[in-house]
Amino acid sequence: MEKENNTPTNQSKEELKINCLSALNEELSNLISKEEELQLEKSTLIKEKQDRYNSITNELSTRESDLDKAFFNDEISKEEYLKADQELSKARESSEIKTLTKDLLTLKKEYYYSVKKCHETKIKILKNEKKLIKLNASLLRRNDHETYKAQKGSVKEALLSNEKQIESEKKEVKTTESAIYLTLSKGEQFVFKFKNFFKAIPGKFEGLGIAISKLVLKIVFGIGHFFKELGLTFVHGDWKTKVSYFIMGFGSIARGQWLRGLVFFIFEVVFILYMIFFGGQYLGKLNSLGYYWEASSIAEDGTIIYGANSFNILLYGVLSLFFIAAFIYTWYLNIKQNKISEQIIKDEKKLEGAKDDLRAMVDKNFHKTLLALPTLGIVIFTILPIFFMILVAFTNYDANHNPPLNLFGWVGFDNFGQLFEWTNSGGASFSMTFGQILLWTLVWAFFATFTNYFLGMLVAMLINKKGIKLKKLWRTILVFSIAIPQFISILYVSQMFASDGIINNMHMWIQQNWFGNAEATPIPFWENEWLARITVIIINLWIGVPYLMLVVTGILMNIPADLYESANVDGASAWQQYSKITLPYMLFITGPYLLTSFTGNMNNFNVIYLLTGGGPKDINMFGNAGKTDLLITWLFSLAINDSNYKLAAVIGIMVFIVVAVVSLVVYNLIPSTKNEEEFQ
Amino acid sequence: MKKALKPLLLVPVLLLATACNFKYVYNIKGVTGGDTGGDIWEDDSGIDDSGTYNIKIWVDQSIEQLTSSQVASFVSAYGGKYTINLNIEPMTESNAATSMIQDVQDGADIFCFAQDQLARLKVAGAITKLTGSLGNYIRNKNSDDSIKAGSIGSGLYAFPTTSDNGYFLYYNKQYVNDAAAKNMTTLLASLKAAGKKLNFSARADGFYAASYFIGMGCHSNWTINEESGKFTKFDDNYNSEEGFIAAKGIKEIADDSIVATRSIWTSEAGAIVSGIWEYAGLAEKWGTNLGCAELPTFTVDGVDHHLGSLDGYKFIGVKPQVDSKKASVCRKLAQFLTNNACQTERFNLFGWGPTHLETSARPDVIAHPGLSALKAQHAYAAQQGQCPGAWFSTLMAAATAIKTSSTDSDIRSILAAYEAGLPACLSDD
Repeated sequence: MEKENNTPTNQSKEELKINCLSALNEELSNLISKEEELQLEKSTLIKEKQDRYNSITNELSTRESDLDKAFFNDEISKEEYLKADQELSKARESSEIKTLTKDLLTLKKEYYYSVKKCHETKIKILKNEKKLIKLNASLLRRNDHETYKAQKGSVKEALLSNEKQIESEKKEVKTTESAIYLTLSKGEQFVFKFKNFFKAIPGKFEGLGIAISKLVLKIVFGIGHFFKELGLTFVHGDWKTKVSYFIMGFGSIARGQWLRGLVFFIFEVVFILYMIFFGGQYLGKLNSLGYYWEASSIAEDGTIIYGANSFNILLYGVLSLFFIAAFIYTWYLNIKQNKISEQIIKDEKKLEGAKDDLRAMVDKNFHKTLLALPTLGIVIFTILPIFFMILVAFTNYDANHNPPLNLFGWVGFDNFGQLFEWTNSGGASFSMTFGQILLWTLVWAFFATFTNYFLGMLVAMLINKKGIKLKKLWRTILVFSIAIPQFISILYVSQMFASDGIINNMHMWIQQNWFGNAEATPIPFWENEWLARITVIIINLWIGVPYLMLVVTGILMNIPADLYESANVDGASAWQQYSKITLPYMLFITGPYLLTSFTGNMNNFNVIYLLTGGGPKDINMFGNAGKTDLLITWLFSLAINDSNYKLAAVIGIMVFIVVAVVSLVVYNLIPSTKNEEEFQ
Repeated sequence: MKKALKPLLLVPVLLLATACNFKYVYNIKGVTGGDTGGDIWEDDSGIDDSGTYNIKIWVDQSIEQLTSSQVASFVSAYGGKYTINLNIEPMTESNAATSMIQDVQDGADIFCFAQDQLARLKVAGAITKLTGSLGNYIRNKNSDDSIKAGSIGSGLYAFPTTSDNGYFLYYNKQYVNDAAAKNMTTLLASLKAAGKKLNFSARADGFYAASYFIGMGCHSNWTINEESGKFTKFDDNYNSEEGFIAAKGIKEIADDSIVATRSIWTSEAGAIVSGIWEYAGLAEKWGTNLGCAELPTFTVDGVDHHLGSLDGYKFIGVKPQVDSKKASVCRKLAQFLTNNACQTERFNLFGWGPTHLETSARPDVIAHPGLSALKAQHAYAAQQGQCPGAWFSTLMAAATAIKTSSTDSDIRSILAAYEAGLPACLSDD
């Protein structure tokens, strides 16, 4: 009993919280007041320094204009003018001005940091206030329900206004951050950006979490709404609608809309027949993918009794699931159709008949008619296989579990677990190899993208330059490498760089005949890991530069010429013109291209597979992967050579994750996604 | 639809395969009076299997026409008992197993394949066991080594087709004399003097790299579970003192600029280590200058060692059938395609080495320079037996690493890594 007395009741707990929060807010408000006092001091100081700075610079400006005037009126000689001008320049760089500039920047920085702190504290206070509003409301609800009911609206309003204030304070924080950024040196600016990037990550995750929870809620409510609507329609609908719950399309046919009714009915019949004669058997076994005693058996006389086949069970099971989803949706449409028709009849309007339906197919619903086939195609040939591949990653489908004689089954996350296992029973571990290949894939994608990009740009600029003759010829020559099918040209180049290829033969001939080096050895282009990596990047240039040259040529011609003219007048060097005009413009226009090119290179199967086949093979890597293997070529060899479909599927999923993460991050960083004014 | 979904993982390969997949469909009705020579197994089961059958066969593109005429001979030999709607598709022996296990039901009824794929086919249930009188018949008609290669444990699974899946030395007598071809050092010296190259993939292909280790007496034996067809254990001593000498031998030629790895021969080649499949092409190019011999000796630390090799076979396999009559006909057809007459035809037209004892005893087979060289090399060769495909790639990776090694301790650590990689080649459950 004593214990109970010591424990505060629910009510007192809430009151305690209210007291604490109020006290906290008071303290925070004090903090803000102190900061504001500090800001006042700083702003006075800033004003003083700024005035001093202005008076010095104004005086210098007056002296400068006087000097110009005197020179213009021939009151002083050119030598005198130049001497005075030099002195003025020196004065502009005097230590006082420098100190003032530095002090001003530091003061402003401190001032803005203090302002930022104030806004952040205000956010804290507002958040506490939000809690206070909620606590007070809950107290009121318990103590005086009537008053609570009466004040419910104002509580909501208060919460909304609180939310708005928080948002506006957040905006203020951002504005202040921009002001702070301007007071920083270049190094500090980098650190500032770097810090902010990482600081923003938890917020982004929070945002993601909120978005996901909102989505989940939406789905839950959606499902609730779905059942509610079904129930209400059944209860309030007429007998035709009620029968339609069991015989699809019945209501529509009974009301004269025989065409759509017939379509619903046929769909139901097809679905039922499909499930009875085909889909049902696979769906029933989807949980086990077939037990080993259900597998096929071969008799002595060479006959086989085909039993369960995990591959077919998985494939047709997934197909059946898709079909069920489609059926539920169509069934729902059928009921909704009944509801709509009932309403139309109630409103004494005319129902659309078969003729109207047919007409709508080429008129009002023409988009549906056009999209029906492609959508079906995408579901069957794109979404279904992707779904299937994802599911394979959760099975043990490999050479030893190969239907029809050996079935495969579900293994949960075991295959993904291998990605984090750092030791293996023998030889190299999958995780280590995965890490190495992922790293090389990223390095390759980076170099393959940016070397092509900058060299392509360089070539395009060279050809575009005024005074270059035979521009069309140079372009045509470069385009030749595009005209020859890559398959052929890459295989040929691969042979050229082989140890007995034409390049090495020439190298040997030169070594022997010009340098008298009889002991010369071929350059191991494909046998040395580093040479192989460098060679593929360089050969990729030959393939990629012409494309870039063509793309860039068009963009270069679109950069306004007056930008360069003004830069020329201001005395900008060629490099300055490139780095301040051409490059930003190019990056802005080609940002999305760079991104797709990067992700495309991560999956650049052709170049790697045809040039090196992933080699040189490394005995210390899992499945003897090669030093130039990308994830995609490794996936290929695991699936084809080793029949290791399960790990190939895992790699497929990992490739998707890596590409998705890279794309999302980069997409948010590139200037092209910002608006044009901001860019300019 | 199933076919349309598999490309998800294998799109590029299937695109290629589709591009190359030309189909020939022959309708071979019951004709009589054709070439009915060759031995025929007499079925003692008493099944009446006469009728019409759709049979799909995968063979190497080079023997596609020949095989269709041999199927016609089969129909004649059985007195028009069968009408066969024959669908012959080109498929290399090395890819047959991969394609079969991807979809057994849709695969060929009869297919040619290389020895190292037998275990995979057995695991997937893509091949039937030859039991009873048929098994005994095949055992009696073919060489013991070929029967051993087509067996898993005591069960025979395939019809031996060729015995020539091994390699020996081809050399152009214009540049290399018979004596020089006996030792690697003298061989290379002769080639260097003539400005020619030796094509030998020892540093880039496990199949050829094995020659050094086998020459040093090393072994790599793999045990296969007769029931499941899975590899359960291995006995391998490539990481040993003998293996170290073999690796040094590989290093020696890997560093030599006149040793090329390209598998196809070129005009620059003066000598080639390859199999009988190159014979016809080389005989045409080099004419009377073509020499064939056992592999040469190689020298490490002043001591000569003879190069070994892997002896391999090619087979015809029969897929299990739902219909027992079709199963019976497929087996009879496979037996016919590997009988003495068909093997002789393949020898005459393409120089393929026979496994059939009667064909092997023919004077022209014995006198064939390529096959004689292969036979001479046989004394130094090891039976390929049943080994996992991953073993070849592990050995290949080791050979590639040996090429880039610089010290003896590098070589030893490569051999240790090779040994550590072997357990991963076993079948796991």
